Amino acid sequence: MAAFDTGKSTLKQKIRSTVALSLIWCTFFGGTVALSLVLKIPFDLISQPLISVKVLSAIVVVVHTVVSVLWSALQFHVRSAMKCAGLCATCCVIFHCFAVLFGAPAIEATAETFHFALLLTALAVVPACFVLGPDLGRWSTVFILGKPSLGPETAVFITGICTLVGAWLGAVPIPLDWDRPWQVWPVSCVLGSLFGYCVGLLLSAVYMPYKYRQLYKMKIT
Amino acid sequence: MKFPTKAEWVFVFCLFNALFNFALFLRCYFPLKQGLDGHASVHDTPLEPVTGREGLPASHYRRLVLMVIDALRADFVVGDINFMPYTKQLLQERRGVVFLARAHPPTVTLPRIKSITTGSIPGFVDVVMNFGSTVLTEDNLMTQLKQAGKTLTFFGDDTWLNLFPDHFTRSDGTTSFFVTDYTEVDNNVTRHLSQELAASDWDVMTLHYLGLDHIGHLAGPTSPLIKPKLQEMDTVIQQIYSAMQSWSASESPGLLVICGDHGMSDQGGHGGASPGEVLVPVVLLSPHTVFQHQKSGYPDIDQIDLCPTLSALMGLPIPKNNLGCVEVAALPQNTSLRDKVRAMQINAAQLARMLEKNVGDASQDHAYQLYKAALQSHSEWLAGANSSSESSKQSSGNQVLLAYQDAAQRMSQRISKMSTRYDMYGISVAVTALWMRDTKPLSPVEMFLVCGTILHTLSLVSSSFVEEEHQTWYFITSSIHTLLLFRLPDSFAGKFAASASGGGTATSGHMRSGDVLGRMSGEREENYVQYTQLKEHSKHNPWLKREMERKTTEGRSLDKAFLKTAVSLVVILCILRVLRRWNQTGNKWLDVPDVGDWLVMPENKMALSALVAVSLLCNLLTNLSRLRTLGGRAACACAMMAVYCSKAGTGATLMPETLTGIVSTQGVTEARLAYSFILVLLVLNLHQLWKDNVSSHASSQSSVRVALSGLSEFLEGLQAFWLCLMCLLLRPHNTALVAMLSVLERLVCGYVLRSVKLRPVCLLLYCMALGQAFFFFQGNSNSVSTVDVAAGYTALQDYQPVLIGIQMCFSTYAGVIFWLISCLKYVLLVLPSDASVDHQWLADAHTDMAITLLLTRALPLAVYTTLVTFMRYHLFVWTVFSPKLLYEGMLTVVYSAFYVTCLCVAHSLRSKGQQ
Repeated sequence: MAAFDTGKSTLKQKIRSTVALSLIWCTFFGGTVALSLVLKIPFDLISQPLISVKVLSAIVVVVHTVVSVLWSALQFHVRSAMKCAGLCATCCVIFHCFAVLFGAPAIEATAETFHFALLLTALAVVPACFVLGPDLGRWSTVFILGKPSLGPETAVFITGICTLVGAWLGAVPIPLDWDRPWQVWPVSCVLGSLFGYCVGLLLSAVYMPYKYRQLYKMKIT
Repeated sequence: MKFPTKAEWVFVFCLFNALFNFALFLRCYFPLKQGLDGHASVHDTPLEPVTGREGLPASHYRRLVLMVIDALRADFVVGDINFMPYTKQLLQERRGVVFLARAHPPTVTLPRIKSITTGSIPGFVDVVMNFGSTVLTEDNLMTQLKQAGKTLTFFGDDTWLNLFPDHFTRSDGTTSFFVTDYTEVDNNVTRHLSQELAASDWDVMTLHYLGLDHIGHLAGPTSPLIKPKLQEMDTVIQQIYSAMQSWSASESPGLLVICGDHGMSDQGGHGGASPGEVLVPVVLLSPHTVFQHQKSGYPDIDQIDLCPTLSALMGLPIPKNNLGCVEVAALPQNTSLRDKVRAMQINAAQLARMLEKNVGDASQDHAYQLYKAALQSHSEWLAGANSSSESSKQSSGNQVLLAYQDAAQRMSQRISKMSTRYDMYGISVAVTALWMRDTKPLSPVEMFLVCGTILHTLSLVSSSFVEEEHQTWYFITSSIHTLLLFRLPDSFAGKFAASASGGGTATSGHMRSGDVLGRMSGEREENYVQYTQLKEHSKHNPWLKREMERKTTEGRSLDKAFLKTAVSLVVILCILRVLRRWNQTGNKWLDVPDVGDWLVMPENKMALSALVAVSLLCNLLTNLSRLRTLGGRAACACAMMAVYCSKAGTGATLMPETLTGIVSTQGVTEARLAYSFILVLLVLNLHQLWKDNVSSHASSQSSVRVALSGLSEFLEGLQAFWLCLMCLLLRPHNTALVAMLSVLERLVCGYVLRSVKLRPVCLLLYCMALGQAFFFFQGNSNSVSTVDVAAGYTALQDYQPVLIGIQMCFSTYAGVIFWLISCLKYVLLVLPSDASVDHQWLADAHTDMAITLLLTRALPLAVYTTLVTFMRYHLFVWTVFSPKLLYEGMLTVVYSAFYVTCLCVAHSLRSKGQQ
């Protein structure tokens, strides 16, 4: 399932293509979000968060699958696919639980909270599944020890962390007494995670060449 | 070293500097108004223009019954639900009028009584003084009545008796003492009525009913208890009114005034400025006069208008410091226009005198000029009285009246603006000094805790973040624990590495655990090489073999410890989540139903009793592990039982049938018993510490660790002591909170902090965050109305301001203080195992903590005082900013005590280390 490992490209090419893909994807995805915020097409993110989250999550999952398939011959194993699906489901439940622990309504707005968890899973976990596969050891190396290898792993790591931080920061304006529609749970957090995701894509596009140059220079001297 | 070092002196100086500056700021920020001394007399009243008539217009009433119903909201009388049928019927028959009076915040009883009687607007400091009411020296209505030779009687809230100690010939004060009692307080007033109403030797009777306020505090304005209480009040009104009907209309016409001192918020508290708290009804009833016809709706007046209006009705001079205006609509229908204008003239003249006192050059003032103009037209009107026709005289007279009203209102506004003028010079000095405080560079600390503290400071800039400050702390504490959970594999990986590097080996079982828990794969490979090499060696070397086995078991125990820590972190997160809903506080989601609300409902008394019992048991069990001595454990158990009995005594919880006999009323005896057990606990603890100290002195060298473990035990005992005290002081439904706190602390101490070593400074920030979170979990907020006044009266039978103040402070800051005690213990916990000089290390740790504490206090204070200075004319200044300022001040006092403790500990450790 690990898509990028099978590619024959060198590290430089790998980084180049990852950066290019990140930038293109960021433009497209950020554009969609901005469009829905400003013109309320194709969906209104603020007044209909549930549908919007579903659509956005679907877009993210489909695009990642397609890119993975096209870029490198994706070796499909039923067993690892199942494992990845299980991993995503578990993460979704964990995200839901943590949203509740952080103060989301426990009983009333279950659908909203669950959609928020769904979005987080789609943004942070699904891409990582395509890159890291079902091996928990690699997951922990990347996410808990924070030592991803340069390339898609770094992109996945940075976007994942940025998504979560964005979602976390999205909760900050909720107590303000501005009474805006986007302050309603979970809209601000959804917006925060979407924003964090886009920032993460940009950040990884900037960070990877920088890091590569640093490493490259060090190797030369 | 006997004397404190230079550095320690500097720290002490910093603290006093901080405290002094903050006190200076508060002194300047809360303004003191320029008042007039002495009492108004008939001779002070201005002459009527043209005619030169002296004195006051004739009084309309001889006798007055002033009935104050605490926390009577406007909608209780004029709302859709007919709570008071008799009163409403009288109003329909035009036997009375209703006004909606707007009370000035703070809506607390003492400032409100002062407002009603003096007509002035008391400052915010009066809220604090509410708990120690002193004699009212300002000119006021009661003194004026007494000067006029009236006989006064009083029944009700004894605040009045403190304010007016020599005014009443007969009185019976009831204390607002047991908030849980809402029948007896009122019966104590009503029982005098029949006798008093039959007597004719008094002229003014004041009644102050407290029951409604108590119901509000207990159950809120929608409680089913409200209706019977209001009906009871209605019956009282009927009783008084029918007695008044028998008075002679010509000789002693009487007036009955019913008013609320303040309203009730939708949650049942008061102190703020929500419409429910501010709007109170004022009902005037009299069987002897016909009132002016009220147009649709109820006239809006200020509560301070009541004072001059009553003065005019009773034919008295208006108290000197009055800022209210006579409400002409309240005068009887048969009042001549000339008298009405005259009443307004007297009112305006009195206000003009206040203006002269407060404004440097009054004659330049617009409002004052309006007054002069009105006076001019008044004399013109009187001079032309004979010449013009009746109707034109009438209309021009009304114009004079309006001119006076306008002038009076403008002057009043001008003065009230003046009296909230700020001492800017003093403020700026204080703020600069606060900023200039010693800021020693902070040692590197864990990012998040510092960031969280700074973010919190920044959040104070927004008034809604101040109102919802609890959300900030809940968010920060949840985030800290989530972060700890997330970083747990990392910190354990360090341990695995340490345990592996010790023998230079890692076993296969150990490996697997590392795999799942996220060990570095690279490190794993390295270790594997080492491991296989060592395995080769160990075949030949029995010592190595044994060493490897030891490591295996160590790895397993690490595994277990990891799991336990992870689980306890999750449990902590769950507890924090439950506590969030225990007491809703703040402003935006205040009315969301919470667990506490549900528990205090009368129909859930059984559940509450069970919960209290279980919580106390839980508390006892967790405390058993904190207390090492049998005596301490026994004392704790007894204390818990006594606490339950005292809660049962106040009527909050149930008692088994057979035991009801032994519970005294109001639970005072039980509470005292609980206090004595808790004190026994403390004394036993101190004794143990002393014994440890003596023994450690006997064998000085080897027992440094022993002495420290003795200190640690003492601090655990202190925690247990504080938890017992919390059980006693906090509201019944909050005993569950104490139990959860106790469990949470056990988890933090037993697992979390043992596996995640934080440096002392971070420990302090962690404890401060938890302390703040618990401050809000308890139901406190940054508004004055949430202070649990009832806690101050625990185990007390009469009014003792100092004890009440201490108990209130302890109960409000119980969580904060608990976590500060815990912090002292945790420092001993994180003592590095290889530290050769324990004392020096600990002393430095304590000094660091003290500096951090000062800094974390100075920073928000400086930011906040600066902000408040800029915002001093903001709409929320009385409701949000000022109460927060008082809370910050109180918190600073609590922290200062801890700061001094830290410095003392550091000093004693240092001198011990140098022996």
